[in-house]
Amino acid sequence: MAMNSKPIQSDNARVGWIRLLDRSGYPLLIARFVLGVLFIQMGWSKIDDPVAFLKLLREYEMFPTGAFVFENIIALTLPWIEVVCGVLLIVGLFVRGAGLTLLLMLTAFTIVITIRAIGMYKTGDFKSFCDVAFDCGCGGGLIGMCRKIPENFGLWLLSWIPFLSASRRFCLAGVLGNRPISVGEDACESPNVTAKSKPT
Amino acid sequence: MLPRFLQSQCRAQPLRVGRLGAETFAVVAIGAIVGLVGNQLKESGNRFDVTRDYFKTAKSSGAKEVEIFQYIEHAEMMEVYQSPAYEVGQCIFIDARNDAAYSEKHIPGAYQLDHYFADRYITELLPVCADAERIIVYCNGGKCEDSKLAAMDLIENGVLADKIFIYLGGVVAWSEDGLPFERGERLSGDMTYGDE
Repeated sequence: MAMNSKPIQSDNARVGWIRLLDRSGYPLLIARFVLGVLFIQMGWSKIDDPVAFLKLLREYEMFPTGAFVFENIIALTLPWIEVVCGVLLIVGLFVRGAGLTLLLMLTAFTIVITIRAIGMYKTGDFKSFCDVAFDCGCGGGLIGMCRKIPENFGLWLLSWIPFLSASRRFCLAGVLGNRPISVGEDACESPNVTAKSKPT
Repeated sequence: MLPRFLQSQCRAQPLRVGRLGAETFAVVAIGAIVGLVGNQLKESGNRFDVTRDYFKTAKSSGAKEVEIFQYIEHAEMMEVYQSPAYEVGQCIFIDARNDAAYSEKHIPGAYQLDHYFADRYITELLPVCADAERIIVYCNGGKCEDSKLAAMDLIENGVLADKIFIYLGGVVAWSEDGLPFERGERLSGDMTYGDE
């Protein structure tokens, strides 16, 4: 172990504080749990009633009239995809894939919610943009746009962490085997594998 | 020594487009498969039909909506509610909302027809509609379109369109006027008023 500590220190000295923070595994852990819990909660609230979610989806008027099968499939599967992403993030499997899925979903959701909110505001029925409120189909019922849009943006920023993080500390993926962080260091491999993999 | 997944050296595989694409595809595929299989495992009456156009209206099927639907105002609705015709079933109300909303409160004596699971209700409703001279369909009020969709279900099942009226005010207008609602099943006798 003493032989292994030197390369880690020299490796750490070369990297910036963001990488050091990332390598601690804590930013990823926090992001995984915040996103995981929120997306499980948001998805689960819609799973039981795909019809209600379908009605909310329709209000965005994103799909042409004939595309009802596509719309139905989205209403049925999207909440499950949210739950699967949440579960995978919490257990720490397919972290990057789940992170990218959330990034793509949040980008799409935020754009369509903003477009709809601006459209509603332009009708002149609201004194200010912050008065615009509707059930966006996010799982929380009626919500004001001055809260929802920044909230989504915050989640969008948070989703970059599982997507970009190089750490797999506290992740099930780490148990299943990932590459070590520093040159010559096999800390993530099991001792047997390490012994075999070392050059003689 | 700490288990290896708790060690800070535990690191992700290098970012590769192919691997990332495969992971993302797997995440989406798992969610989609679980959703589709879970839906198929539900009882047929509760199953969500992905091939059905749930919002097929008179307008989208090519007919002119104004020729099919007739509307009833709140004041006239009150007259009907207090009339002997309502007492004897010559005039009936149909609540087009889902089970939870209907059970929470509905206009006293109203039948239920949830358009999205119409098969559950239509067999029981058709004889009642055949006997009625006037059928008033309502939903939540405001922008809700479930009353029109339920009315379309009735027309498609042979109920004469000129007997059907849509009450656009719905539960909201009924509630705002402090009028009575019935809770639970039809004719349960459990009454409530307005927004109680």
